[in-house]
Amino acid sequence: MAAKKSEPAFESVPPRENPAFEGHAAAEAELAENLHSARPAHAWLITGPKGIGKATLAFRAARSILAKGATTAQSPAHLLAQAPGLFGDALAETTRPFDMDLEETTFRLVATGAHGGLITLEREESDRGGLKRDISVGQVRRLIPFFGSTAAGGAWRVAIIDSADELNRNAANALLKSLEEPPTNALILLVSSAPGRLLPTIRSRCRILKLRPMEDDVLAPLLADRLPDWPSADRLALAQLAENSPGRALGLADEGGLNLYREMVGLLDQAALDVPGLHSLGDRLARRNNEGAYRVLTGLLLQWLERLIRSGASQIALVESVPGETALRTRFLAAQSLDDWVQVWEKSARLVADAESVNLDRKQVIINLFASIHRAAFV
Amino acid sequence: MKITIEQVALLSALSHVQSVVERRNTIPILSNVLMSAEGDKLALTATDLDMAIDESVTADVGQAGATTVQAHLLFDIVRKLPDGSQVELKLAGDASRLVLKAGRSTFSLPCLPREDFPVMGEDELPCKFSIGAPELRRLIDKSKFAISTEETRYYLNGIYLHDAESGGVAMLRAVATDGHRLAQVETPLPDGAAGMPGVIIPRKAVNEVRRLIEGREDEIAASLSDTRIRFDLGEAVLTSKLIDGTFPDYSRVIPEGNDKELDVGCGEFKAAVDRVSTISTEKSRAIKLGIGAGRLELSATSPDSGTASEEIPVGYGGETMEIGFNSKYLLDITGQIDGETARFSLADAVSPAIITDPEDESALFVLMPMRV
Repeated sequence: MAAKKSEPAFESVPPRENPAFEGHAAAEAELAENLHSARPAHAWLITGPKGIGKATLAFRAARSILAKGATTAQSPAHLLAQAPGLFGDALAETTRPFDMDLEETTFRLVATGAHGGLITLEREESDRGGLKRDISVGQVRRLIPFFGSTAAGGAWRVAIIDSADELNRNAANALLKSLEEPPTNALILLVSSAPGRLLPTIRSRCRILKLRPMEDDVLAPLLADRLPDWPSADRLALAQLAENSPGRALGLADEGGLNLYREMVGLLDQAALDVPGLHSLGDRLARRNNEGAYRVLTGLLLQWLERLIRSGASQIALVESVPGETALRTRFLAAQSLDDWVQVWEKSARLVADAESVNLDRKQVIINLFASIHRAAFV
Repeated sequence: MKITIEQVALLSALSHVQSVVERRNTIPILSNVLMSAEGDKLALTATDLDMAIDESVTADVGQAGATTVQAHLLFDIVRKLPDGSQVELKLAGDASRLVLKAGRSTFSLPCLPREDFPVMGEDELPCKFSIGAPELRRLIDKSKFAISTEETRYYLNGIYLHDAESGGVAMLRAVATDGHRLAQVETPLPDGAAGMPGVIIPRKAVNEVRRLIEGREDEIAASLSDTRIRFDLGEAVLTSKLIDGTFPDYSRVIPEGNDKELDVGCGEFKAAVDRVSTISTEKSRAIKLGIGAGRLELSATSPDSGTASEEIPVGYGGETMEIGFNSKYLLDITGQIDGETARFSLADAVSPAIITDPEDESALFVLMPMRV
């Protein structure tokens, strides 16, 4: 399955192939308990920030229900009571309800996309390379024959929509039909990082499962494992930038996000606009193969403004990812009213979105963003 | 894995299984055919996740084993090998390549591991019966044209096969409809099929079975459960998912008490409909039947193309009436009548017509009229 190329690689391993899953124990337990209950919900909306593991959890749940069905999977305690000798050893390690061995047939089939009981709707590759802008109505309509035929292997049919945010309007409307009248033994898992933007009719038909940013003590060892060469201070800064989303953190690491962030703060922290520095950054990010880094930087810049506004509004000092950042924020907040900063943020966000939709020159976008922030802060 | 096999045997098996494999596939493993060698057999399996075809052929197995390679690629290669040559297939050391040797040609093809290949449940299906290939062909041919292509009514996208009683005799009945026309064909219920679950066989599986039984005269072993159907044709076995839905109560749309009987010469009628319908618009294809004593006037009018009419002699003694039909549907249905005469049973211009072969009571067609 193709990785999402046009976006920073949030997941180094695609969710369907990812056996690892850290944190979110409570959420996973909630989902497992319901799926293996007598009356499981037919549709779940898994929400949470990008890169947090929503799709990974969806695939874990799908594998579990495809392999074991809903009712046969029993609680470990129950199994222990039945056959203490058989399951005694396994229990010591197996603590997560959806854990599955990499070599199991279901895992392999789901990973290659060849499981007949699972259909995944995600953005397809477009003819011009990259991914299409949205999930089309044609794709959603595939659910009708899929749910209309008997299940492969086990009794269950699972559809994963990754992500529901990418459904276009017609596709979202077409999905309602399947969400409204699902056949028996059908499960629809929707993944969304902006559930507020979904159709209310979709939201209201799903049970919602919120994944929260990962705890520091879960994330730190995970990053240490994936980025062993990094100094621990850098890993901490990365985790903060990624707002404790492991997928985002690894995506940022992939694109050199921490260095970009340092360069960005350095450029902001100049009384006189550093024109040569800005041009050099713009040139680099405008290169053909550097689209990922461009997206990371614009994302970080908007995030920085957001945090600036939030810290100004709440008077809470934020942790520094780069030394001197707090002083810079204080100066910026003193220079303009919060309202003005909100306007700067709004304007910048619109520019980034417009640049995306009408293919504006990336270098010019970068220069404009910095110039407008600089104007607000120093003029 | 290492085997030697005759090109003809491999080609025939591949030609059967490769048709299931879709030409455009986003999932690499589904483009592949599973080949497993054991004993003195090479088993080939292909699937599109909705159905699977397994076929085994006799081969000289040097070393047992299994792998998967691209089905169309392998088929194209084997097709071009000289007739009667011996093909050697050998899995290279690290199992990532299949080396094919025949005469002076050598091919090295990329493989995917057999563990990644989805195998359709090999479970036993409870209901088993056998049916003659010609009978099965008849059931399929006479009903398949009426299968709906409308995806929203997915439960009509197949042939509904079930047991039914007809005049006190237990029958195996195949029904297909798209809401405009309906075909119902039956054959005496084979032993073992009593109490079978009513199943809807998807169109793709219907076409595939039909292709496999072309020209055969032997008995086909069928088995089914409420989620699967399997046709065992000796060397080839086709297993398919079914459509999970309720087939509508079709008996309600078969009218009773259509008292006006119109007998037409089938060949003559078809030719006339075909000629007159040239005028009717591509979209509606409407054709009008003006029925009077002993004669039938077919006519079509189109604002763009003008008008056409043709009169043919028929057997009819009732009152004069006019009724419109879709000409393509008329041709489809009369094309399924083997006898010389087709009998239309009509009520009035807005009620469905029943079309039968007076000499063959086992097939019945219902056609909705059009307003013309």
